[in-house]
Amino acid sequence: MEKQFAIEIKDLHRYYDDIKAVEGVSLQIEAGTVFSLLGPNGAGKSTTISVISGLLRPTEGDVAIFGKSITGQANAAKQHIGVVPQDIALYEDLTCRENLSFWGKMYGLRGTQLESRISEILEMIELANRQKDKVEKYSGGMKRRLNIGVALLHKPDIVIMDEPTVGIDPQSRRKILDSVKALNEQGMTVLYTTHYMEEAQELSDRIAIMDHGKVIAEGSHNELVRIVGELDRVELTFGTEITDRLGEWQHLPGIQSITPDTNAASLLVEDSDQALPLFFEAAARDHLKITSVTVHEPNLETVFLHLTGRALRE
Amino acid sequence: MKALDIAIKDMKQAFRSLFAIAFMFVIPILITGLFAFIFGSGGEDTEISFEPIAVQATNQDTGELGAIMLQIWGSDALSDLIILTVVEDEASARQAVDDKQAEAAILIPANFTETLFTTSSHAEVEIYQDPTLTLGPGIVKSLVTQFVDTMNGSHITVKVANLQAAERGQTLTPEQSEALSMAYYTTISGGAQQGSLISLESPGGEQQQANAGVKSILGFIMGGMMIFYAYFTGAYASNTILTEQENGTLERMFGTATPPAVIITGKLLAAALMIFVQLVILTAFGRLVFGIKWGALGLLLVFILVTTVGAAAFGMFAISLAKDRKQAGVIMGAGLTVTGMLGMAGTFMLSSPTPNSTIDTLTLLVPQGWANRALLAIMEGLSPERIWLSVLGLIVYSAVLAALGFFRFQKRFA
Repeated sequence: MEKQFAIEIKDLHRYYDDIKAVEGVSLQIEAGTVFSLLGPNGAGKSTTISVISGLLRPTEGDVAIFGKSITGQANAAKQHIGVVPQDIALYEDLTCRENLSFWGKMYGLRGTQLESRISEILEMIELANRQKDKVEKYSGGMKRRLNIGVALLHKPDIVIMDEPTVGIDPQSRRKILDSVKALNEQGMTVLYTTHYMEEAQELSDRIAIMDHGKVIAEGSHNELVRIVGELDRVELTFGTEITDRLGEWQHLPGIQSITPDTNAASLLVEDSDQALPLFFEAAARDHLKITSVTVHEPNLETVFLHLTGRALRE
Repeated sequence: MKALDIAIKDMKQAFRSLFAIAFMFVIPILITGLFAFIFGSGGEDTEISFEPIAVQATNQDTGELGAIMLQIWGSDALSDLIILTVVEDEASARQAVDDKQAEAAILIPANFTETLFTTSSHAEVEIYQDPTLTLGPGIVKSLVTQFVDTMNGSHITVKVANLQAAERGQTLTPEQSEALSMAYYTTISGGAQQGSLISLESPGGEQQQANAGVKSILGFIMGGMMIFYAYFTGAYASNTILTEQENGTLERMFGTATPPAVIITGKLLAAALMIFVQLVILTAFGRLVFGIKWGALGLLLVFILVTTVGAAAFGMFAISLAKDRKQAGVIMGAGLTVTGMLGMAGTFMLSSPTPNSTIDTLTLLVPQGWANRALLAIMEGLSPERIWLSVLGLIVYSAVLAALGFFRFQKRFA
């Protein structure tokens, strides 16, 4: 019997006129896991999520939610999903409770079931004592938490979170990350998009790295890191501009790649202990002054750099 | 059910918005109030409270005129104006004025009647008044002067008749002089209804007619304002589709397995409920505060219902033409003003003695014109055919607009 995935994306394409926002993405997400889409802004993460949520029709391909096509059985598929949009999507002139009540009704909840679920969510997002306040009086972090709470009202099997920690304070960010873990522990499948490598690393069972509308790598954190093998990432800062002055460095032994910036460079090396003396020699030869050195163990940033030649946050 | 949830949520938001409240209720009432201020209250008939003037009188006249004069002033017709007390002697009358028991005393001399029928005698009616008072004694003086002037006219008539008779070598008998004098009095006092030169209307009647006119004008103006702003409310309510689209809540709604048709129906329902509440409150306010008579209650309810549907449908259609709130702002600002004013042109022509039939027809190009025509017909109590034709026209127009607006939004969000 064929295995049924919580989300199965099949050769997904989505174009906006001539712009190919998503191009041939195929993913399988198992139930009960946290799956992250990691990539820089404009990588196609939000478009992919919009198609999965049934908000955008795919140009080609399809998405199945627990076997139900998001194009052919949209309403049935949507019942499984709770979407946390990237931007706050709440009614600012209604109170927190009024928002939850309205959205609960939109998810089909009524009566005592609705009321008890609202109370549970208020406790979960820690806004019970502010439930009668209008949302317009809330801080950014409180709005984010309510934004998540709305998506959980109908106890969905899958929670899709589109960059839920953008623009909030560290304390609220921590609460959101903890809530993602708690939801997953309750058995929910979480599809999480972010451009913060640390979040993906902390939360995810599996990660897909996207760039230019395509999935360029997919696997668990360890699997992805193994892509770059035992490569270390060395970041050097120089006292002067280095534009076009590191060309000869490519030929140094053990160097895999160099990504220069104005007065800094990221270098992937096989062994940082052996590479560092070579860097200082080359710098002296080229009359460059190295002002700082940072060595990173292999991580997702290293993977992205290795695969694209660019830093994740560029 | 979800459509109703959306409608209730939208109403809650609208009634918390000062902007919406202002356009739905405050501005139509203020504009009507402004006209009420310009034309007069138009409210329920007002009465001026006036204390009757206490007057004492003595009648020394040996003839009949003095008694007639006192009989007139003591009549029921003048009882609201004068309380007349007849005393025996002048000293008592003067004393009553001095003691401020009366505002004035009328002292009729002994030869008052004789003076009327003879050409040689002279008599004066004296008014003794409290010098600190002006209004009451002034009115008494005016009444006495009016009566005496009439008598003087009669006296002159007798004199002229005597002169003319003398030229012919004849003399009028006292009976002839009296008959001539009474004929003059009857004519000048308007006693003869036929052939009277001056038509007198009671002040109360004039006031009632004026008030009815003002109420009628206010009714037409407030009716026009109601329709104008009901259509604005329709557009405002539908504009929340674009607002929610820009705020991301519409997309979130689509993510809740709520079909677009249900969401659009909810928005249409929200518009209808808001407009219905608006029209009910404005018509009730107009009736209670401005005294506007809207016509038969059943027909008014029909008008409110069809205008509710019409304004909601028009709003849905108008906003469906806009891609975003910026464009919707232009539609709400310019589009609704132009169509609203055109629709109200029928009201503006009411005062014209020669209504322009072309303009009257042009008003039917916009749904506001049909609504206005229906309301005017109901208020003026025109024939049922005229009323129901206007209602039917508005229903058909609204159905087409609702279908178009619904289709356009459905297509956009499919």
